Amino acid sequence: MNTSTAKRLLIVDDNESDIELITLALEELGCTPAVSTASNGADAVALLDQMVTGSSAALPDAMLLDLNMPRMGGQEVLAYIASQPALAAMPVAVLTTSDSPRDRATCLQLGACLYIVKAYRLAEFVASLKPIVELLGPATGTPPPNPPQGGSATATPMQASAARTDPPRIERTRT
Amino acid sequence: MTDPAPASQAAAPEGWWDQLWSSSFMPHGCCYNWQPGIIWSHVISDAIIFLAYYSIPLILFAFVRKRRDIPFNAIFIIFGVFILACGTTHLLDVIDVYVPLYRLAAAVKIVTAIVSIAAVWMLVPVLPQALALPSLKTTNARLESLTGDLRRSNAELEQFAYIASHDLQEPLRMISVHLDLLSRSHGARLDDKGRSHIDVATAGAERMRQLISSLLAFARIDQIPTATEAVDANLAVADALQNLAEQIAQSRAEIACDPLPRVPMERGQLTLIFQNLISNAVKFGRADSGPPQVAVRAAARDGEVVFSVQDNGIGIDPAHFARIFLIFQRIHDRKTFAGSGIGLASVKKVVERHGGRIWVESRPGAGATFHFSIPDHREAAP
Repeated sequence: MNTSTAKRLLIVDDNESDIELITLALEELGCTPAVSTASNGADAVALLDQMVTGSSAALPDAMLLDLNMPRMGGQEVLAYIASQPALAAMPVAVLTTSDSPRDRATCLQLGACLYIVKAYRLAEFVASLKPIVELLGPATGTPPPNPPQGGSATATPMQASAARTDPPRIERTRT
Repeated sequence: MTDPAPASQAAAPEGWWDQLWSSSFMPHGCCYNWQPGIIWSHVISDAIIFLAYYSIPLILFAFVRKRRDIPFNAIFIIFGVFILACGTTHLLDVIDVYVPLYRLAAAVKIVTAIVSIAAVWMLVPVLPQALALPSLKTTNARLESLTGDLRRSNAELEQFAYIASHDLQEPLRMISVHLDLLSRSHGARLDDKGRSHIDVATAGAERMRQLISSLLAFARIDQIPTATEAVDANLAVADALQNLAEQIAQSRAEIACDPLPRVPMERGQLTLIFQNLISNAVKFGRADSGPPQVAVRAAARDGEVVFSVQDNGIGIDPAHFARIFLIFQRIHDRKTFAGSGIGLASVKKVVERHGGRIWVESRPGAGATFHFSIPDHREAAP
């Protein structure tokens, strides 16, 4: 697979088996993004900083964020992203075990575009990730290989702002 | 309470009664040589003491009448009588300066002496009890500590609810999802027995998930603010029926709902109550008597609305009336009637949170009627 044309997805989760499961589920949905991972919020923030300063690869097309993690939780990561204009365009989907209405409300308020509760059954888990596939968009586009920072920034804001303000996207996950 | 002196002597023979009021002595003023200074100081101070002594019992009686919760009622009354008697002696001291009613004064003093002995008699044994009464300070301290405990326990419950919503569910979800993965990737290599083990484990995990989620909903009831505005109970029943549509259709239950009033509750909470009660009414139907018949009614009484949900189902043995409202209590085995044992506990919690009560009338085999009241102190609305 040519990673340069694939969509990039950052998965932040302290549970390795869940990262495996997410990749597997996306694959089942016909989505094979280039996945980078961080196992806690602090690592994720450090990685995002590197991406912004250009010392690492460009920002991902989307980020999947767990809430309950050691060192730095998902809500703190959301707050950090909201405070960084350079990160504002990146759509963030929360994928967590917590079905607490308070967590959901807080995350959406902090700028998460999706709040998905990790499902108990495999089939449901796979189905619950469909909005992520939509968020990433079709992988078979012809984005410029290694786009400059500015290029990627103009490509993503539309997608991101649409995702952030479009309530039906959020509603869809409340099953 | 009148002057007890004449009354207590009333039984004495005629001669005594006359003697009591005779004044064949020198008035007390003679002893003072009718000097205005000494006379006025005695008369005025005795008069003031008399007035004060007569007003104190009035205050005491008023206090005892109003504060029925205060113990030692009898003590207060004997004290009142004692002070009245003392006051009367001072009144006679004033009179004696001018009119020597010494016999009457003596009689009043005898009565006062008897009453004061009685007061002492009653007071002595009460002293240890009175000392044992908690002071306002200790009572307040205890209340404060109880309030603190309650606040802590609420905070812990909230904390528990959060832990349950994540920490308990996370490992369970992993068990469940990986059982599915196992079944999918290795199911073909297992025999029927092996696959059945996976199914049982998956069903167990699913049941655990339902329990955790019900328990969470139960714990979260306290976090939902009690409504200040009224909701049309008909809407809540409609919501409940919609949520139960599948169960009702399957059981072919017939639900009859009278027009219901408005009550000061949040719609979701009232829906939760009706949903649980109607679901139970449908679930515990009798196999031999056709589709379940459920009736929802309401009656406005003084200051409250009493709703009732009646069914023609299997009924409940009165021995179980208290148990059915406790969390995780089940009366039937899971195979006969599925359920988590949280529904009625949640209903009771919501009802009591709104200051209402819930109770049930039933006999085995004769259906059950659940009643719950919601206080409504607004203008009685139809």
